[in-house]
This record gives sequence, structure tokens and C-alpha cells, in this order.
Amino acid sequence: MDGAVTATTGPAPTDGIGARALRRVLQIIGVGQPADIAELGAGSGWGLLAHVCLTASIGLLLIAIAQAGGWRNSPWSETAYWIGTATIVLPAATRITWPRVARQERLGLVLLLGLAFYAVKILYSPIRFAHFDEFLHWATAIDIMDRQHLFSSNSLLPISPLYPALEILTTALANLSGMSVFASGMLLLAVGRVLFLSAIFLLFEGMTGSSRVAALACTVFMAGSNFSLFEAQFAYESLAFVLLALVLLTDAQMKAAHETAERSAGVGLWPVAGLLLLALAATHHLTAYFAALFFTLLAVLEALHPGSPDVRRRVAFALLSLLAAFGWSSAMGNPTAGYIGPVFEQGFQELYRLLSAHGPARVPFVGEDGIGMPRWQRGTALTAMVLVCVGLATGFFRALAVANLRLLVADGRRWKIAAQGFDSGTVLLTLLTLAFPLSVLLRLTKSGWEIGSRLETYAYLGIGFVVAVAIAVFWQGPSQCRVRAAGVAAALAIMLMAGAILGWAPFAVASRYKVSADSLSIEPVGIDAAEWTRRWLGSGNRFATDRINRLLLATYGRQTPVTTLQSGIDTSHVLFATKIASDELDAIHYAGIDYLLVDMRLTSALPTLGVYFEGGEDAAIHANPPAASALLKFNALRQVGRPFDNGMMVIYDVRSLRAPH
Amino acid sequence: MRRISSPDLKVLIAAALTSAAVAVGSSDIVLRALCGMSLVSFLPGYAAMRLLRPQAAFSLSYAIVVVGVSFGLCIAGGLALQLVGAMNSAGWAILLSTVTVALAVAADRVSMPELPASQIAETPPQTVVATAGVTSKQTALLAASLLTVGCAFWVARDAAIARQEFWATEFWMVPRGESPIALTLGVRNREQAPADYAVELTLEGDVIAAWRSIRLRPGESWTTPIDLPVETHAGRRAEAQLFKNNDRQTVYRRVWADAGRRN
Repeated sequence: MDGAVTATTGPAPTDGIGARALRRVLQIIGVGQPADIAELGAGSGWGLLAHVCLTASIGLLLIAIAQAGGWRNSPWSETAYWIGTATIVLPAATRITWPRVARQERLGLVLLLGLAFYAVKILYSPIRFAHFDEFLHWATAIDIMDRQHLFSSNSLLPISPLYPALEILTTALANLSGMSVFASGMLLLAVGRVLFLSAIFLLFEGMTGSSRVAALACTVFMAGSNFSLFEAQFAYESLAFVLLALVLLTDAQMKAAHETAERSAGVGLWPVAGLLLLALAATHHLTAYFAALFFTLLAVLEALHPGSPDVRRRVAFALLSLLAAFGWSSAMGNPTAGYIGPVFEQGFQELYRLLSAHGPARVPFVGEDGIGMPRWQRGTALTAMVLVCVGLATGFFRALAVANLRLLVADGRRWKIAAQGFDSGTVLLTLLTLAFPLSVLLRLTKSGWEIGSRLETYAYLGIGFVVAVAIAVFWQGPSQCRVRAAGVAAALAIMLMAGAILGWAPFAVASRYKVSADSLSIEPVGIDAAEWTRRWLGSGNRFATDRINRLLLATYGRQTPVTTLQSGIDTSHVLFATKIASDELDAIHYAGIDYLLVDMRLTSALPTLGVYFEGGEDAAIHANPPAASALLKFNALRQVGRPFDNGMMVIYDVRSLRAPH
Repeated sequence: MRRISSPDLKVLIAAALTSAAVAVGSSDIVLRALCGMSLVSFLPGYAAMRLLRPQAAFSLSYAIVVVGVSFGLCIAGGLALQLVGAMNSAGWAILLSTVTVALAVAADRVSMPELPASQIAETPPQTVVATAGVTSKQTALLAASLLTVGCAFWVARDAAIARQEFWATEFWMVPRGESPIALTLGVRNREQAPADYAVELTLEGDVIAAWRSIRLRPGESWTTPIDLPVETHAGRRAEAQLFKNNDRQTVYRRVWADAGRRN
């Protein structure tokens, strides 16, 4: 944008000790400071990338050994796992911060680190899906493979078939290659991860003109708690983030073409942007809405300056993103309001109660089962949080300065905003960091932690950039001192370790079976039972069962688990009530239940993740594990069949009870 | 019809058609995976970008967008394919190869204006990433890395396959066909060692059939059809009990069905 914009506001510091101290603080946090980003000398070739590759692969081997030991509850597995993670993280972080590293090596290091984290996820379960969300989307993919059309129902996650882009891509590859859905999904997500990291690297590089800042920003982004596992799962968010990064990159390319004489090249990118926005809209609701909001705010920022040559393009881009996100949602019957709305409402209500000291907070670093993280993990996570905050404090104004937006202390009495030709995208990315405190607060609430966790992912796009600027301009600056570089590397390594800890805990290392612990509850006997139902009962029967067996029945068994999310009927009491009364019979009738699958292992412990069935279940069932007699109460009903028994799991045929009572 | 003039587009069309043929006709999973991956993540996007940005040089950002556009076209293609219920290997192969060929032909029609000589001289050769300077030491280190990662996956895969925390014998009795008195009785040994099983079938408490020695190795199963000697009316319970290793005092598994009734 052309033209200087200045504004005056607030009281300015006057002379005196307080004023001098304030001036010093302002200097440290970068108010009014220029943001000169140095490249720290130009390296050449691939440098030590191959060496770092080798250390990362040794780290992966250690992690694989740790996981193998974990399944046998070996006491050393946890230690081996975290040493392995450190072996991946530390050399890469060190090299990324080192002076005189060539652009291609920096990019290579970023991709290596991203893929190494992805490999860690695969090593946890290299032969099958293991994580809760993966089963939800696998069920949709299986439906597409079986029926060869989209939009069939998925009782585990009813909204999943309405956002089927991930499953379309995966089943396309599975059909063409003959590979399983698992292998196809893992391969596509690996490609997606390379695309994502390359795209944000180019984006940050384009904004700052520095491959060093780009590499640092990507590294800090990877330190977010969702990167190591959540964004590596076979779930729609994982693809959505790739598409979001591609849309941002396309927008940046259009802007670059617009600012140069290559306007025709920019025109050629409109269909690309449209296609990517449509793909994003068909992938994930929240990310599509985020993109629409982001581009709308970008247009508003641009429009603040009449005469900006990019306003019309920005407005058109915003309209396109809004049309894609809300058009798709509308075409699908606006499913998100009912799905996300209550989560947001409850989350923010809890946040309000928390802030007004009227509500209980989640205890940080303690799981639903009451088991806390080890001290060193808490320490690492807290240190990383402090480092991020320090990075944000010292990078925020400097990042704005990169965007040519500077807060100046003018004439000793008043402050001034100098916004000469500021870059809207950079400003908005910087402002995105303001969502970070909100995400942290939301994570302290019982219902809002999930929103906070999602919000953090978007915020980390800005956090990565701002902290990278803080490092490149302030903490490391143009210094080629290796000690200083090592200090920054240590900070980055702590942040990356904390991301892995928070992202995976408490299930980073495999262990023996636990009750209602998602990936730790999925094991061959349960899978066999689910496969048995498909073989001997046929597919599509309506089953009432617990959280884990729902996943297995829907995927390996091709059955239809009854969930409150889809049917609105809570069936937990059908399994857990000590007697069969009219409530249980009504639930069987109204939910149209064909079979009950009872897992006797539930009697051994309370649910590790806080729920036996699904969120919102009656808290009374968490007082004690269910009694075996309660689970087996249907033995007493003469008209109920018992077609299957494997010693741990029993299936009851309750079709005779479906008639109204 | 005009022939395709651009060499890269010729290669693109040949690759698309070959990939489609391999995806449909080959049983080699590695070859099919390569061809499938190229159809899903590269060929349509490259053709589209050649049409939309014919003058753009092949750079890292270009390559990223090519893959992204391929994904986008594949997703949009899936929405179209589902309308005709053809989301299978043939449907995908035909769709993606046709889209690639059509876009490539269109791209060829959009003639690429020749750059002036001065500009050609100034345009540096671009590649996805610079490939210069890979030394033999680096190559050796990369090879060692790949080997180590391979070992890591082998260890993890081996452990995942070997993971068996619980051992269970499955026992079942399910309806057979539509007849209300026809059932199938089955046992599957999913334990660590071979076992001798015995099965006793009762109707309202009276033993009507027994199988005394069923020896099953781990992974083996046994099934038998049963036709109950009852009239086709509801209310008689057929119960099967499983005993293991000649211990007739302990009922190892129990299943039952309401004989004569079908839901």
C-alpha cells in the first residue's frame, strides 16, 4: 500500500527513571524498532543435512525399539522413546539456527523434521489405524469403497461423510493402486505434510525475504502441540491444513503477480484458488470457515487504505472463500451449527465461569484418570510456554515492523502508528497470535479444551512467524556467534519436545491394554470379535456397545453402532444398568438396537480418558467400574439370544426386545 | 486433428494413459501404487497448470501448486464420479486420465509465446530444488539413514504384528439361512497353544448332541450345522456349552438361541 498513515494515541512516557525503564522495555519488545532481518551469511550445498538425516533415523530406530518394548510394558521404553525424540529434535534445531546454512539445506531440514515427526506417528502403529479420529474417517472411507458413492451415513461422526475430500482422495488412490485405505491414507498424508511445510516455508520466505526466518517459523510451528499427532492423523483436519497452506501460497503468488507486471499470470491463478477453496470447503468445516474469515479480514485491512491497488482482488478472494465455505455447508444442509455450536457454547460458558472464578478448571498436566505427567515433562512444557511468550513479547512489534507497521514514540509525549505501505497479510498473521492466550485459557476448561486445542493450531501459524522474527531480529540477530546459536537451538529443541509431549501425552509410548484409552484399547481380540460380526451376522446391524468397540464394529465389523451423536438416544444405561427396566427397553426400541456387545474388560477399571461411551454421559457411571452382573444382566431374559462368547466379550441378540413395551 | 507439439505434454499424455492402463490392468501393487500416485497427485495438476500458467517456470512453488491442483481436481472428480456410482478403479483411471489428456490438449492449443532472446538469456534454469553438491559422503550417509529408518519400521511392524495381549477362544451359535431351526455352531482357537474342545448342545436342558474331541491348533476353527429337532415355534432355548482340555466341570464358553424363532 502506498501512502503513510499515522495515528496518535495514549500518553507518552516522560523523562525520569520510570520513563527510562519504560523506554528500555519498549526497546526490548521492539516498539518503534526497525526489523532488519539478517541471513547470517550464505551457505552452499546441502551442508550437514545428510548428517542430521542419520541422527534423525537413529532417533526413529530408538523410538521403534521403545514402542516394541512398550507393548510388553518394559520399564525402559519411556526413557528410550524420549531419548529418541531428542535425538531427532536437537540436531535439526541446532542446524536450523546455525549461521551460514544454505536455503536448500534449511528447507531440507524443515522437511526432514516434519517427516520425522510423521514417522514417529507411523511407528506407533505401522500396520493399522490406531487413533480415535482415524476410525471415524476410516468408517467413511470404507463406505465409499463399498458403495462407490458419497454421503452415506456414519453414526460415529455424522458430519464426516458431508466433508468427504480426504476420503475421496484416499479411496481414489486405494482403488487405483490396490493398496489398503490405511496405506493409501498414510502415503497421501506424507505427501500432504511435505506440501504443507514447503508451502508455509515459501509463504514465510516471501513475507520476509529470508529463508532463515522461514525455517525458524516452520520449526516453531512444528512445536505446536497438534503437529506431531493430531495433524498427522487420518482425519479431515490433516488434509485441510495442507489445502489452507496451498490457498495462502496461491494468494501470495497472486499478490506477487499483481504487484509486478505479470498480471496475466495472476489471472491464471484464479481457477487454482477457486479449486483449492472448493476442495478446502469439502474437506473440513472449521478450516474452511477460518480461511473465509482470514481472507475477509485481509480484505478489510486492505480496504482501510483507499487507493490500494490490491483491494479489489482481496475483496474478490474473500468473497470466493466465503462462497466456497458457506456454499458447501449450505449444500450439505448446514450440519455444522448443530455439531459445533453446542461445543462452542458450552466451552465459552465454562471459560466465562473460569474467568469469573465460579467454575472449576481442568488441572493442567493431569489426565482424566487422575494420573499426572512426570515432572520433567511438566517442566519442559512450562519452559516452552514461557519461551513462546517471551518470543511473542519480543517479536510481536518487530513482526509488525516487518509488515511496515510501526508503533513509534513521538516527541516524548505521544505515540504514533506509522503504517507506510504495510503488508496486510503479515499484519494479520501477526495479529493471529492474539488468539494464543484465548486458546490457553480454553484448554483449562473441561468442555472448551477441544476448541482451545483447534484454535492453537491456527494461532501457531502466526506464532511461528512472530517467534521466528524475534529470533532473527532480536535474540540471535545478525550474530554469527555459535554460542548464541546454540542457545536459540536449545530453546527451539525445548519447544519441539514440549510439542511432542503435549501432543502425545499420555500415550506417546505404547503400553498394555487400558480401559477406554483409545489407541491403547485397540487390540487383536476386539478386532477379531468385530470381524466375527461381519462374517456371521452380516453387516449393517445396529449395535449398542462402548466407545472402543463402536470403532471396531463400524470399521472391521461394518456394523452401525448406535451413538447419541446420531440417534440422540443414550444407550449407556442399557449396558451398565443393574436391572432391565422400562428405560432400557425403551432405549432398545427407539434406537432400534439389534445386538449388544458387552466387553467384560470394562469391569476392571474406570475409563482412562474419562468416558466409557461418549462425552456427556451420566457422571454416575464414573463412580465405579460397572459390575460384571450388570453387564451380563441380559442372561436372565429368556427371549434374548447370546450368539457369541469369547471369554471377554459377549454379544446379545436383543431383536426380540425392539417391539414397543 | 492437430498433433501435440510440446514434448512435455506428449510425455504427460503418454504417462496418463499408461498409468490408467496399469491401474486397471496390472496386479503389481508397487507399479499400481506409482501409477495411482501419479494420477492422484501430479499428472492432472501439471496439465492444468500448463493450461493456466503456460509461461511459468517449474519451481518449488509451481510444483507445490501442481500437486495441490491435482488433489483439487481429484476431489472435484470424486464428486462427479459418485453421481454415476463409479468410484472404482476403472472409474478413477478413466476420469483422471481423461481430465489430464483434455487439459494437456487444451494447454497445447494455448500457444506458449516465445520469449525474446534477451529474456531467454536472463532466465536462469530452475529446478524444484537445487541438486548441486551431493557428495559421495552425503550419499553414503543418506543411504545409511534410509537403512536405519527401514530397520525402525521393521522393528515397529514386527512388534505390532506380534502384539497379542489377550488370548481367546471364540464360541458361537448363529442362525443358518432362513429356517428357524437351522443353526451353525462354531469354535475358533485364538489362544497360544493347541487345545482339545468338547461341545454339548442342549434343548431346554436336555442334551441333544455332543462333540467330544475337537482338536484345534491356534488360528484354526471348527463349525458344524445343526438342525434342531423342534417344531417351528418360539420359546425353546437351545444352549451350547464349550469345554476345554477335558475339563468337563468348567463351562468354558456358553452361547444360546431361542429355537424356532426368527426375528
